[in-house]
Amino acid sequence: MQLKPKPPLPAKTSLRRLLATAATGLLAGTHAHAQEVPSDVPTTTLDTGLLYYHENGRVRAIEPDFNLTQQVNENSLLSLGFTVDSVTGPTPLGAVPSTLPQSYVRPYKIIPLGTPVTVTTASGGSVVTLVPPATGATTQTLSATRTVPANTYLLDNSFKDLRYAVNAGWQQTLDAGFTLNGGLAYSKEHDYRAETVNLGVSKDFNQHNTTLNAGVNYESDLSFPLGGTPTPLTVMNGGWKGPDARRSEVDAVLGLTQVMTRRWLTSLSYSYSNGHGYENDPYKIISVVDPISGQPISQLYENRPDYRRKQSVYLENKVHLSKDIVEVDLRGYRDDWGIKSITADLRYRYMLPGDAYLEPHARYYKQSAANFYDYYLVSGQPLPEYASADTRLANFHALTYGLKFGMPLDVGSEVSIRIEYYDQIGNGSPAFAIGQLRQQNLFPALTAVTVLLGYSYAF
Amino acid sequence: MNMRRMFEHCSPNRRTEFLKVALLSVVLASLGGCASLGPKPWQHDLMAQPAMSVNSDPLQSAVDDHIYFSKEGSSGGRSYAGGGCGCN
Amino acid sequence: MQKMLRGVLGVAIALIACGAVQAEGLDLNTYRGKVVYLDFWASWCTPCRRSFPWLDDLVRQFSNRDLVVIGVNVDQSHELAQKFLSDTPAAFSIVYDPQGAIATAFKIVGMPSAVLIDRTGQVRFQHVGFSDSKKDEYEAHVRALLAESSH
Repeated sequence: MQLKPKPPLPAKTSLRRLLATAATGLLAGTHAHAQEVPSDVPTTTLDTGLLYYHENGRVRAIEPDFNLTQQVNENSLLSLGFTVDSVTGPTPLGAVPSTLPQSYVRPYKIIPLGTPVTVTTASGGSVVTLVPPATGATTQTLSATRTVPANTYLLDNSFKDLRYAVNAGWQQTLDAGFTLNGGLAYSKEHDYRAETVNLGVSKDFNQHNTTLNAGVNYESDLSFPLGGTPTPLTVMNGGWKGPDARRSEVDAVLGLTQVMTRRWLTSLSYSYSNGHGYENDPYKIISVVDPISGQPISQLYENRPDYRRKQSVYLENKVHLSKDIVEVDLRGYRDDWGIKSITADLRYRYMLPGDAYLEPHARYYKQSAANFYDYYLVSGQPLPEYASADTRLANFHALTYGLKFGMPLDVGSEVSIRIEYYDQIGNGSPAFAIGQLRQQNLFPALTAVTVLLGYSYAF
Repeated sequence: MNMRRMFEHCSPNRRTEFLKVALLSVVLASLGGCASLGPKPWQHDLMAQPAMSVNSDPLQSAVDDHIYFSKEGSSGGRSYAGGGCGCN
Repeated sequence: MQKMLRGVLGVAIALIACGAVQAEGLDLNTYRGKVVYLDFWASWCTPCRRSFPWLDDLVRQFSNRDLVVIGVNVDQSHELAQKFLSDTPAAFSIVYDPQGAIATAFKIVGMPSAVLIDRTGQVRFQHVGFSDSKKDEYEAHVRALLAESSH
C-alpha cells in the first residue's frame, strides 16, 4: 500500500480567527505618551499533532505534524508546515486468495552483467533469483519471489516507506475586504513525488455574515516505483520495468459560508478536479482465474484510465447549543471512473467544566465501485481496456467511531487526544464467484485504529 | 421525496448541472435578495469562538483527509473561509 | 419588513438627534455641550482589545476639553465582559447593552464601532472597525468636533 502522497493542504487558518490572537506591535509614534499594545495577545501559533495508525495486523504508521502560523502584520499571515510519515507493513496487492500457495515476483535490483549471484533471501522472506538478461544488455536484474501459503492474501510484505511533506502559505487582506491566499507544497517518498501550488480569494458580504471563496490548485506528480513502471495488463514478472511516470491535476473549489443565526453556521462548497497522466498503482495486480476451478492462472499489472474528473459538493453545519456544539457534515462525490459516494459526519462537542470537552464522532461512508473494478478476470474472456482489483475502488461502506478529549491550556492553546476506529465493509462473497473463489473472502477486511494527539500553543 | 424523483429522471450530466445551478442560486440569493440573512454584528459572540469557525481544526482535517484518501476512492471537497467574529 | 425597520431606525435617529435616547444608564442629554465618543465593544471582539489603550489615551488627552468616552458593552454574558475589563481596564465609564437596543438604535454595522456625537447632540461620525491605520483619522475627527463651539 502506498499512503498515496496527497500533500496535506496548507493550514488555512481564517485570518479572522488569527486576528483573535494577534497584537499589532505598532505604536502610534506621534504620541510619546501612547500606551503600549497589550503584549498578552499572541501572534504566533504552533499546531502539532502525532498520529498513530494501525490497520488490523497490517500497515502501521506514525506521523508527526508541525504547523506554524505567524501574524506578520495586521493584514498578513504566514504559515509553514512539515510532516513526516513513517509507514510499515504489508498491504494486499489485489490478487485473489487460492486454495493453493501463490507467489508474487517483483524486480529487486539491477546488477552489472556477469556478477556472480547465489540464491539468497531478501527482506520479507523472498527468494532472490536472476532474471535472464536480454541480448545485448549490459546489466541484469535480480528478482525477489515471495510465496504465500494457501488461503492467504498475497501481500507486499517488504513495504516500508518514509514520506515527508512541507508546505508554506500566505494570506493577505486587501482593501475592499478581499482576502487572498496562496501556497506551495512538496511531498516525497521513496517512489513518489508531488508538488502543488494553490491560490485562493475570499470576500465577506452582509456585515460579515456571508463569505464567498474560490480557489484553484495545480499538482504535478512523478511516480518512480521500485523496479520501474510496469506495462499495464502484462503478466507479472521479475524483469526491470519502464521509466518514471507523470501525472498532473487541476482542482477548483467554490464555497459559500453563511452565518444563518447567532447559533448556526453553514458552509456549502463545490469542487471540481481534472487529472491526467499516470493514475495506476504500479504495484497492484489483478488475477486471471480459471473459468471452472477459480484458481488463479496468472497475475496481471492493473490498468486505470489516464484521466480522472471528479466533482463533489460539501455541506458543513455547526450549531452552538446553550453550551455544546453539534456539527453535521455531508458530502456527495462522483467521478468519471464511475465512483459515487456519500459521506456523513456527526460530531457532538460536549463541554465539561473548565472549558474542556468530550467529542464523540461518527462517520458513515458509502461508495460504489469504479467501472473497471473487478474482483478478478476470467481466462478466455477478452481482456478489458482497464481493470483493477484495488479495494479502494470497490463497492463498500465504512463506519468510523471516535472520541476526542480536549482541554484548553491558555488563550489559543489546547491539548487533545482522539481515538478512532475505522471499519470498511465490502462484499467478500459475490454471487458470481467461480469454483474455489466461492469459499474465499474476496474483500480483505480492513479495520484500523487511529490515535491522534494534538497540541497547539499560541505565543 | 418529490426532489428525489425529479433527480432520478435526470441523466447524470443533468443532475450535475442542476446541482451547479442550485449552488449558484443559493450564492446569488444570499448576496442579493437575502441581504439581511444572519445575526447583527453585535450578535457574533458565539461565532467568535474558535470551535465555531469553518474547519476549526485544520491539522485534524488534513490528517483525516489523508487517511481517507489512502483507503477510499473519494477525495477532498472542503473549503475554508467564513464565519468568525466578523470583526473589522 | 424592511420598510418597518427603516421607520424604526428613522425615529431612533431623530430621537438621538434630539438627545432623547434613554437606555440602561445611558442618557445622552446629560452630555449636551460635550463631545461624546460612544464605543461599542465586546469581550469576544479582539480589535476591541487593541482599541482600549487608545480610548484610555483619548480620555487622558481630551477629557479636560469636554470629551466623554463611553464604552457600550454588547456581550450577552455579563461575566465575560467583567473578565475582559479585569484583563484590560477602561479609564472610561461602561454601559451594558446585552439586548443590543442601543446598538440597534445607532444602526451599528460592524464590530467594533464607535459613534461620535458633537456638542449639540448630533451624530457626526461613525467609526467602523479599529486598526492602527485608522487611529489618526479617528483622532482627527475627535479634535475637529472638540474645536467646534456648542452652538
